[in-house]
Order: sequence, then structure tokens, then C-alpha cells
Amino acid sequence: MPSDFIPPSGELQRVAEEISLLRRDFQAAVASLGRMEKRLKASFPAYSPKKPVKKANSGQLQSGKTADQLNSDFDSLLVATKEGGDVGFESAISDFPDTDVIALAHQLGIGSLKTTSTKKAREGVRKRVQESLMLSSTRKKTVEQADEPNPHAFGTSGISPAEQARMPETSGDR
Amino acid sequence: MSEQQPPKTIATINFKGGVGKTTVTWCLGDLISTYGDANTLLFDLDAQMSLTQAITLNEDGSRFRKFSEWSERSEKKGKTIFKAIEEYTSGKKFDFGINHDFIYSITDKYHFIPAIEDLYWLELNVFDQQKMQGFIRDLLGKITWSKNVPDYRYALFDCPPSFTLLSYSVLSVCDLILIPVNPDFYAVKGVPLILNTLQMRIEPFPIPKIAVFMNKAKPYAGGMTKESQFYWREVQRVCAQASKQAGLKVKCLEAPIYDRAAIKRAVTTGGVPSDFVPDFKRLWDEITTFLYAK
Repeated sequence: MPSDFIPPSGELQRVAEEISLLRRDFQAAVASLGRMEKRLKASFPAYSPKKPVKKANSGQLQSGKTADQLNSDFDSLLVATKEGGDVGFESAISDFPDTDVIALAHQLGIGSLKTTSTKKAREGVRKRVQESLMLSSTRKKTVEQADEPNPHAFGTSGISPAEQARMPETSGDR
Repeated sequence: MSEQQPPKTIATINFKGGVGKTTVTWCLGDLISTYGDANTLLFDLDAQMSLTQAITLNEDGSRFRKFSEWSERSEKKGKTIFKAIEEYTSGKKFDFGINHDFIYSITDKYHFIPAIEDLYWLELNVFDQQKMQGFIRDLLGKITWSKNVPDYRYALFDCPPSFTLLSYSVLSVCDLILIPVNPDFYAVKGVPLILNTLQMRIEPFPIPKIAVFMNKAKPYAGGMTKESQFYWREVQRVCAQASKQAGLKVKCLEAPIYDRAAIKRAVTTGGVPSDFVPDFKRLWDEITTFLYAK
């Protein structure tokens, strides 16, 4: 019975044909764009293609804060968010100059100093704060549990009640 | 007659899979036996047998003849860790002979006790749990006093990513628990979990020293990326809390191991890649400084 699948040599031929078609379309599109640009130049002699927009912050000053200062800023954001939730975060971060927000995001491993927008930096910092708070909530649970008498700890018998219940009656046999 | 000293015992554990427990444990053993003069004994306690299989395989995926022949002989003679557990928990006198049918020589100074698939039975609690607690302690005692094998300065344990009876037996007797973490949220979140569990499960035995280090750190310009640094600071926060409030001796080791493909392949290619020996030496120096500190 013949295979339902195209053999590799046939597949290669099909892909080559598709590439050829794409190339033709691409060349037609480029030619069309060129013609449009010529027509525009003829109608508007002063026209020049739009220059690429400068990347965000490329002309801005950079924060003068050290890594330690930025880490301390992060801690203060943590406290503000812990106490006031999203509103607390927004309120605290709005006190920071844009350059510091971008530097803080960079310090937390998000984006670069030169290309990251303030909006993106702010969202990045928010994400890191959320992560840190989630880790803190686990920490709190851990400490509380550790302080409590532990029902699962191995006592003098060496076996917790839950484990005793799970143990087969033939425990010890092979 | 000089008094025999038991080896210093280090157990590598983390409940999160894929953090690099096996590779790091093997690399540290390889490092101290190759670049130092310490006889080192490595245990694979994970029923998944990752370390054992990695040692069995060459880089091309074929089985390493010397080890596979030894392994078959060892199983035929009943010299596996599973048989040792069976004998230990049987209620009879623990008279398991220690020799090189039980311990495989990777090199002159680097020796290995492999895992075996039968270790999965441990998960089913078929053994007497109370008796299992002392298994590793008594096995190490036998190894220490055996004339058939050298004196080991270090015993390294590659523990499974769960709390099996065997890992409990190791953790209640070891000198240091080594926890590798990775620079990602889930790996860091696992740290308080394991610290909590260690305390709950090891009590009433004294909790060993605990060392945490950053494994698979993302490298950038001779250090860690900012993102890796962020997660490392989070690890330090978590550990500081545990140290302060739960009374655990947790040390965050400052020497990271970077995420490099050559390190991942280190077990099957035969050694710690020379480019990364300084990183592992720094880590080991920190481990031993903490281990021997009063």
C-alpha cells in the first residue's frame, strides 16, 4: 500500500516551489514600494522618508543611584506594597524619577538602561515585587509552622501517626 | 593503633527537579579526588539512577564496559545497596561485607556506590521505617572500619528529589546539607519548602548545617546577570529568615556555578571541564570552611 506521506524528495521540491513563489511575491512588493516612493517624491519634492524614532530614553539622563541604593528602593517598594497593595505600589513608585525606575528595573534584571521605556520598567518592577511578596508569604508560613509543635515530626517512636496509619501490617517483612 | 575517622558527609538535596543536584555532586567528588588528595565516596541514592546511568554511559551513548561488567557482577553477588538495606532491616545481625564488589572505583581516589532500580521499593514503605533511620550511619561505620576499602575523607550523597526513607536516613546523620538553587522563581520558592521540611522531618535529631548556592547562574561579564543576582538576593532573604526565626544554620555560599553546557556533560565526558575548575574550587573552599567551622 502506498504511503500517505510525501517522500522527502517530493517534500523538498514542494518547499522549493513555495520559496520560489514567495520570492516572486516579495520582489513584486519591493518593486511596487519603490514605484510608490518615486511617485511620492515626484509629487512632494521636499519629502524624505521618516527617520526612525529614537529609542526610548536614549537621550535621557541615567540614574546616579548605586546598586545598593536601588536594592534599598526595592525594599521600600516591597514594604509599601505589603502595606497598601497595588495602590501602595503605585503611590510609592510614582515618587521615583523615571530614570530611577528604569535603573531599578535594570538592577532587577529587566530590560536595559538605554532601551527600556518607563512603562515597561514599571511593569517589570511590579512583577519582581509580586514575586518577592509571594516568596515572603511562603516564608511566613514556614516560620509559623516551624514554631508550632509539629504533628508530623518523628517522635521518640520515630514514626508519625500519619505514617503509622499508612504502614502495612507486615511492615518489616520483605 | 590510630583511630578510624568516619568520612565527612555531604548530602545534596532539593525537592525541585532539574536544579543540577546530580551534576554538581559528581563534579565536586571529581574535583576533590582529582585536584586534592582526598579519597571520596559517592552514593547515588536516587531510584531514578541518573548518576549511575550517567557514569555508565559514554558521551556517544554507549555503555561503559568496565562499569557495566562490574555492575552485573555486583548484582549477581548481592552486593547492592538494596541488598544491604534488606539485610539491615531484616532483624538479623547486620553483617554486610564491604569490599569492591559493593564499591566501584571510578579512579584510585574516587569511588562510587550506585543506585539500583529496586530502590523504588523504598517508596512503598515495605521496610521497617524505624530501622531504616540508622542505616546510613551504620553502613558508614562498616565502611570506615573495613580493611578492604580505603579511608574516605568525604562521602557525598546524591539524594532523590523527595523525602524517601533513604534520604531521611542520610539527612539525620550527615554533616552538611547542600542545596543547589537556580535563578528562577520556582526554584527559589522551593527553598523555604525544603528548609521547613528538613526541620520537620529531621527532628528530634540535630539538624545538620545547611549550605545553599546558586547553580546554573546565568553568566554576564564575569559575573551573574542582574536577573540571577535578583533571585540570589531572594534566596538570601529566605535563608536569613530561616536562620533567624527557625534556628537553622543556613549559609548562602557566594561562589556560583554557571549555566554551561560543558558542565552538564561533565559526568559522561569524564571530568570537570578545565575552564570551570576554578569555579568549583571556590565553591568547595566555601563548603569546607563552613563544614569545619565550629
